Amino acid sequence: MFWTIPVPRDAVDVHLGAGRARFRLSTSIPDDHDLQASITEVFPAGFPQLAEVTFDVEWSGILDRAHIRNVAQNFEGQFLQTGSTIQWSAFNPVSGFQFASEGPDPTRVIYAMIGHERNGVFFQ
Amino acid sequence: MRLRSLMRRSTGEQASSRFVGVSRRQFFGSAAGLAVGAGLGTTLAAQHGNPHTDAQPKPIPGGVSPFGVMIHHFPSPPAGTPLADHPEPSQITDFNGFVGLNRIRGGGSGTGFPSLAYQADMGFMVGEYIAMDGRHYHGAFGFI
Repeated sequence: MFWTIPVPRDAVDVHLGAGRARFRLSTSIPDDHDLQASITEVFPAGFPQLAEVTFDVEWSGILDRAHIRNVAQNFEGQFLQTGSTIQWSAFNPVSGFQFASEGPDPTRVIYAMIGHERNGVFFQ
Repeated sequence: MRLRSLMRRSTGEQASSRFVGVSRRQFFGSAAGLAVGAGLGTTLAAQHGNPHTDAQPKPIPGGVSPFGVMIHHFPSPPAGTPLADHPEPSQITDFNGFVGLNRIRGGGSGTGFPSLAYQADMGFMVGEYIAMDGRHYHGAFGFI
C-alpha cells in the first residue's frame, strides 16, 4: 500500500448528507527526497528523513450526485462531487526546509468527491 | 530533499501528484527506522488487545504503476469527467464506509523558494474493513 496510513478516527469528519467532509492531521512522515525515490524506494544518500506535516483538507459544496456501480473495479456506492480546499505545511528538521501552502482556495480544485461505498467482499 | 524537489518538479513539469509520500514499507510496518507507520500499526493491533492480530487493511486489486511499481490507487479524473465515471476512490478493499478523494493544484512558499507550485491528491477512508487477519475492524485511513 502506498501513501496510505492509519489515522486517528477524529482526524476525519464526514457529513455526507450535507456534502461536507474534513480531514485534518499533524503527523510525522518520511521525506524521501523525490517522487521517484518514494515510489521505487531507491533513495539518495541520507534519505529518507523524518519530516513533520500538518494539513487541513475540506470537501464542501455539492456539484453532482451519482450512484456508481462498477463491476470491473468491484465497488458500489453513493457519491457526491464537491468543491475542496487544502492547506498544508511541512518541516524537515534535518535540513531545515519548510513549506507552507497558500490559504484555502476553492478555485484550485481539479476534482473532488466524497461518498459512501462498499467494495471487495462487501460488494459481491 | 524530497519536499523541495517535488515543489521544483511540480513547478517545472506539473507532473508531481503529491508533496509527500509514505512508503509501502511504512504502511506495512516491516521496516525499522520509519516510525510513523510502524507506530500506528502497533497502535492498531494493541487497540484490539491481541499483538498477534494483523489489523492492516488489504489494498484494492488494481491501481497505477509509475516507474513500474504498483500503487493501489486510482487518481481523480480530469476536471469535467462525469462523476459516474469516477474510478474506485478507496485504496483499501473489503471495505464498507465513507471515502473522500481530491486533486488540487495550488501555490505556496518554502525555504529559499518564495513561490512554489504543487499538485496534491489526498483522501480518507473511514468505516468497516476486513483486515489481513480476516477479522472485521473499524478504522480510519488517510491517503496523503
